[in-house]
Amino acid sequence: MHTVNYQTDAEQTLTSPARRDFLRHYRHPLGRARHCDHPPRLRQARPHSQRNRRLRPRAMNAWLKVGSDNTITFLCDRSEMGQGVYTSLTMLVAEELGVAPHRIQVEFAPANEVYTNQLLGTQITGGSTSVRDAWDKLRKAGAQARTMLTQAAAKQWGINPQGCRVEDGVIVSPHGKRLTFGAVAASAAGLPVPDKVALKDAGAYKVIGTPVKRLDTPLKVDGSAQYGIDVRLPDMLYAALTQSPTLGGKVKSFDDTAAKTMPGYKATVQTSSGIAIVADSWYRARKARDAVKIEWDNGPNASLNDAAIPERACSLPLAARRKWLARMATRMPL
Amino acid sequence: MELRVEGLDLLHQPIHQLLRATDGQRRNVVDRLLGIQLGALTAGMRERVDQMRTDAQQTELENLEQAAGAGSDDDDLRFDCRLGWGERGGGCGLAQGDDYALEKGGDYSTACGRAVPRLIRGVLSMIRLNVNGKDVQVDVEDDTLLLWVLRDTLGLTGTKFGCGMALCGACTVHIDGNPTRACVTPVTAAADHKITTIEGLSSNRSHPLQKAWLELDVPQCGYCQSGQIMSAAALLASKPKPTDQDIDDAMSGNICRCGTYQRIRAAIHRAADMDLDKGSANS
Repeated sequence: MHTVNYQTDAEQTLTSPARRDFLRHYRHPLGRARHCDHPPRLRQARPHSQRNRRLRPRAMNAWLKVGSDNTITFLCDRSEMGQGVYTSLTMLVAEELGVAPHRIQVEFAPANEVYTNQLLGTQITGGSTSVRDAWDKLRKAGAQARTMLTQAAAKQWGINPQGCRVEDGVIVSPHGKRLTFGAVAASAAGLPVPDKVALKDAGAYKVIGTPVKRLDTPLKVDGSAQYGIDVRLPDMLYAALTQSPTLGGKVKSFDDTAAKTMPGYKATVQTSSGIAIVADSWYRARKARDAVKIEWDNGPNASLNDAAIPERACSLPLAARRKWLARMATRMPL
Repeated sequence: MELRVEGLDLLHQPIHQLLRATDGQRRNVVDRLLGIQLGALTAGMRERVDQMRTDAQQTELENLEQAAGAGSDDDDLRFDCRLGWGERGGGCGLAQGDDYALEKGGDYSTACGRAVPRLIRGVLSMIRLNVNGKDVQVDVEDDTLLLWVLRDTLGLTGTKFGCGMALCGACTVHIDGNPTRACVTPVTAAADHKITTIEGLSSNRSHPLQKAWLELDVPQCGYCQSGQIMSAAALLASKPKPTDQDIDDAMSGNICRCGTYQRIRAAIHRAADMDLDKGSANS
């Protein structure tokens, strides 16, 4: 939490309206903001055009895809922020699917209702809820995929799937015949997704409860992990924002004449609490932003400072204090 | 033209006071004293600043600043005048000034940029860079900061933007082997120097530090780790067997919000041991 005077360049420029809204939602169920400045998207899916059609991964359910080349992809529906969901959630599906976690590739899931965090009511990461929410859901997803793959293999062998077992990505028949996940992926994907699947007893866990090395570390030691700031879209524009130096302050007037002449300038956008300059690169946007002259209406908190906040808070009765601080918190530059 | 006293005075303050300084004051410090290494802001900072101030060469510094400022307006000084303090000439974060620093051969270096060939202000000019061993030419305004050329022009997004003020170390790259904050280094200052980013440290995560980082699972969110590894790589290059104190000194300018410092330190020791293992195996 920063004081009104202590707002860095980075904070100003990264505090987009969307992010603020996100954080507001984010705070609400949790009661406090969490570290989520740069949620990473670690591995980028290759565009479909680049994929070999025959190798197209087959979706077993919303979380798991199996390719005929034996690649297993887990769609991780929570943000990796260092807390380790990239690994821990993968462990949950790996346990029931019957493969080692490091054999699973992780991609981040798109936005979809199926990925709702039931403990928080929307597709969101926070409040130490990821594993608790995923505990049954992802083990079930793993078990569903394993069941379908086993059924497909048993069908191919013309036997009852009951006696088949799975050993690290391979389905093994009671007589020792073997088929890889990839070999039956296409036929398994055509089977109905079983609603009821039996989950392992805790005593039978091979992955859960064991130390597993983080799956995201390799991407974080060579710079290849993709964070929000690294996303590049075609014809993407960049905005740099200057916000009111006071809480609740507004732009009284501004002059962006100089900014408009600067290289890469695209547009000036006035927000509820500041001015954003849009340009064709972030650095150009920032330079142009710095060239905007803004006169501020400092609003009701013009004289608010570090010392005044606890003073004011302490002068209020408890309930009013909580309310006031909560209101302050949502308007605090982040 | 002279450095604003306000800026220098702030450097006498403990780091937490600097961080509490107003935005304007901090901008002043950072804009005026480009290329500073945060390590220098902690241990021994006061001593070094005092030493520099009392040193006879201070006059030379001022002369150099005037030279750099001559013919350019005040804003240009933001990008041309670079100062640094450090134990090693290498650690002081100079890119433009290292020739001067070498001439002086002292344990601190002061220098201002050589006259950067500036065309008309704001006009694009082709700038030649050597990044990760490859020669590239970039077509950017010559006051563009190296970080944005690396990330946006060259697509090397492993180097991160953190504070934009040389305070956090997330943007650390090597310029001629010296750890440098790309977020405050103008691209022209890096022209014709060898730039190494995290992508160029090794092609297959085979650098001892990367191996140690993997072994000890150092990163959490990972955002600062490119910078951490680059700072650590520069440390190991100059001190193959660093002590805890060496590590703390060299790494204090790299901030990790997840608090992975203990593992970072352990991994640097581990990498140093690997290097030694390799050395003894080869000999």
